[in-house]
Amino acid sequence: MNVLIDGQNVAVEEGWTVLEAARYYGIDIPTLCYMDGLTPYSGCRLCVVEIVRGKRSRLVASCSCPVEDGMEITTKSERVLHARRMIVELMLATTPNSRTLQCLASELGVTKVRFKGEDRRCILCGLCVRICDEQMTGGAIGFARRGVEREVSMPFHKTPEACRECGACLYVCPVCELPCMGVMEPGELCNACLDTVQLDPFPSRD
Amino acid sequence: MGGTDTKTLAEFVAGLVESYEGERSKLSAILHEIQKEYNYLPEQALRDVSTLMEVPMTDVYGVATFYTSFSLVPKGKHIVTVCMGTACHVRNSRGILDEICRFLKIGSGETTEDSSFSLETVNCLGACALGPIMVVDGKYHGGMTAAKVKRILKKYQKDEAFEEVPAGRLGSVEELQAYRQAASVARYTGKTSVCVCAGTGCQASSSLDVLEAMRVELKGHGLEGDVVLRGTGCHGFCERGPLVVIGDDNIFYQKVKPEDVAEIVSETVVNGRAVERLLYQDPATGARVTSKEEVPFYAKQNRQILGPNGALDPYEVDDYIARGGYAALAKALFEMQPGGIIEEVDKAGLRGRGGGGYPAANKWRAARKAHSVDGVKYVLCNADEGDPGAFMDRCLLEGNPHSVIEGMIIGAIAIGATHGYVYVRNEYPLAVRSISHAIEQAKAKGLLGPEILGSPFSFDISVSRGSGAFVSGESTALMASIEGRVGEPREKYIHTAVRGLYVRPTNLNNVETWANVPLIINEGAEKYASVGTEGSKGTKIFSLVGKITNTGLVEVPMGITLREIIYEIGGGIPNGKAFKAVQTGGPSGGCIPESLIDIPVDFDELYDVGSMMGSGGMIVMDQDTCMVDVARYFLEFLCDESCGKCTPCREGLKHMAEIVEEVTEGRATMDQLELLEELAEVVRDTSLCGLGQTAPNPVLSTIKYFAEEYREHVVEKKCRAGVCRALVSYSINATACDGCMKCSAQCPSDAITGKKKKPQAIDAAKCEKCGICYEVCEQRAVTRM
Repeated sequence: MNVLIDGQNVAVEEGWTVLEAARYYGIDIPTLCYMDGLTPYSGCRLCVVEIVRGKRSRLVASCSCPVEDGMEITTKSERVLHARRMIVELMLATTPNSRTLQCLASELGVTKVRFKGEDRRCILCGLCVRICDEQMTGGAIGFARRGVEREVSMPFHKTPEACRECGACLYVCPVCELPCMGVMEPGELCNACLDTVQLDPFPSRD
Repeated sequence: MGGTDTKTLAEFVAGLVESYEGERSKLSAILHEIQKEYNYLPEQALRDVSTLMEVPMTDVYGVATFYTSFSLVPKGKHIVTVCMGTACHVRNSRGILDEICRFLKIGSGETTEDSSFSLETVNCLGACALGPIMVVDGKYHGGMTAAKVKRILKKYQKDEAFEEVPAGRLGSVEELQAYRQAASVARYTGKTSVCVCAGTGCQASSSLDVLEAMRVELKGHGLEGDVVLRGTGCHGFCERGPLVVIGDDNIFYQKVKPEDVAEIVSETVVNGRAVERLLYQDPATGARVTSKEEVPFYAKQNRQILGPNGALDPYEVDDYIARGGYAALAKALFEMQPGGIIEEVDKAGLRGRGGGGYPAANKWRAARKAHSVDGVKYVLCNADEGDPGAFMDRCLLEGNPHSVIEGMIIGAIAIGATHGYVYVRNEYPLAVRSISHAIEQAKAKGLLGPEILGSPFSFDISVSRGSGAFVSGESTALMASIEGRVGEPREKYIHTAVRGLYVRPTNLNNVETWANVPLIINEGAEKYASVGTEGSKGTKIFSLVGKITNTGLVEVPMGITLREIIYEIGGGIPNGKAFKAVQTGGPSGGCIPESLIDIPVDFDELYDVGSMMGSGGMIVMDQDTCMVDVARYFLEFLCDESCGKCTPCREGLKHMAEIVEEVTEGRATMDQLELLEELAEVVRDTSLCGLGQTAPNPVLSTIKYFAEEYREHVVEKKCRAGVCRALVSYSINATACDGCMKCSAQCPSDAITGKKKKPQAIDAAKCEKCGICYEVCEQRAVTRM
């Protein structure tokens, strides 16, 4: 079957997701909660692309949306980019020091966080939960509670026997890595990678 | 916990798991039982459940913390629940909650030090017509006021608990018909019918006491043989409850008290004379009307679905059969082909009553076509009626459960389904009881189960209880919840008709949709489709609540105007106030302003004006309702109910709520209003499920139609409705005040001082702006700025 992706007519295989098709043809779509080998989760919404059908179009999560013959996909329309910028801005309000997020902000041209900040150090992408369950057969961590109170947690906040301390959860986490060195305060943006705003990557902490 | 207790707990849990055969789908049911027994979920109990059921501890913990029905900390002896539904909200449920907090000296979600009371809030109990509602230990108390709070809670403190009165296979069509005749003779022909409404709304006005008094009185007169006494489901006119309807003439009594029962029996039942003082009085003309049909509230309605509610006992399958029940099932089984059933439903133009309005026949066709690996397909009934302000599904399940069951069986025949589930929210205990009982009765009569009515078709239905999560009404979340998992949605690029419950083809419709099915089969598509508009056929049930004279459930033909519903059926706005807006579609819908009051009500028209049909909540707002406050209310509701899986819904709604809260406090800027709109668009565009995608509607529709009110809050720091506490102040006009001291007696913060028969004064520093003084002042001396 064929799809039209960013104006190019390309052959795809049935069962592929839009993300797989795009990556196969070298088109980059940013993702945070997606990882090869883990079940798609579709939670971060960063991978949204625009699907045009006649006069109507809608945004879908490319990581889980299967390709259909004749599908018309736009991965970098203004509507898509605007949505991605807003999502990164929302995430930065809760996770200001993630290097991954700061770099994404620079790439997408996010120059301001307009929301009240609160450092929660987690974007709830669920990579750790899935790698523990699906690849390490651990099932030691899971989601608890809901809404803004949702958290990745061990039951009753006690380390269960199922945890072998393999460290896979830390390995996949986009937040608990070496923090972005350009950012001092929650809500601040590094943007060191942007030409427009140059910050000293290692400012003295006085 | 001591050694013996631990043993008992372990034994209790082991026994439970065994009785449910360790099935994963029974996880919620097992947790409910533990919660009921211990008032909370002890950690050890969860660990035992995990081990015995071989479900990972993380999953058990996830389920236990996701749903509001479960608690990991011990609860008090009495559970006080305050309804925070939309209808209760516009009638000041927040004030009631404040009063309870003051009286018990705890906040919401807390337990008193002596463990006697726990205070909780719930997002709609479905008794909207009687709001504000407070529930203590399952007993409903309607029309709450600050004074009533103290009176009722004091009774519980003294432990004067209120009492609650609990309320052969047919092998062929011929046997069904013969049974119908016998049931008709036993239950209707030549008998006087006395129907006392025992729906949740009337129960909140103590209708069970009336029912019991009636039973005793009829027995005293030796009338048991000639009279059939029925505790029926909801009649719809909840505001006037308890309701009693008598005889073939439908003599209609309202606001009946147990003391009135003796007179009703001797006058009406024995002598056929009406008791004048209990009849409904038309407020326009002052005339008393005798029969139910003459009451203006009912006269304009078309109650083809709700009507039977008032005439049958939901716990007696004989009543349903006697009135022609299960005839549609017989027709579908023996006279129609599955494809023909779908054709008929298609021609009837039946659209989903749960909110989306998707054509039912299309869904059925897809599920019929879909391949199942082992031949198993499911039909589900969505009774997770979480929209605050809507309660028609509860009434149907409580009042006429067999109509829903019959609809589901017919759907199962059409689709080729083998098993069904009714997913009912836990906040509806009466509905759970009624549908469970009806399923047992239908099975006993051979109308459900193996080889229905002697045909080769077999189908069974189970009840699955929700556990307090609005998002579980979303189709994929509902299916996850039935499977015993956390009720959060997944992407459905592959439809549930193809891959649904347990990865099998599944068809989900809501209660009201299913209840329409027998009618379509009985009457034929053509007659059914003669009611309604081009795109929306049949009738729709709305719960008409809020600032309206006649509150209750109304069933109207599609295409009726909002004006007809509000003024002709609803009797207009009480206390001479001006109509401002009507909110439809619950948290996914929008507010429709007065300028659009003449639009015909159907799926497409409501969508076009930025709202939606939803499940049918219709909350009327008057001049005293602040539209920004309404937006804030819905955002808080949605933040509470978002599952938190996707970023835009979890984080976006939180920040939207923050901004709107700043608007209500007069701290926002016009730039923030723009950001609010920008964010709302992204949340709508990118959220994973329907909850997030429609969540911005209440905000966007109020910004669209009431932009001026937003501007006033931001620029002029003014709330014209006087609702936003940060923007109002109260003072007493000394010349108008006669010093009756009603206000100072009621003021919870002792902010009002003054001598008797002298003008009173408010101390602004102490004033909490609750507005009680404004409400109680008969001289209108209290002014609100």
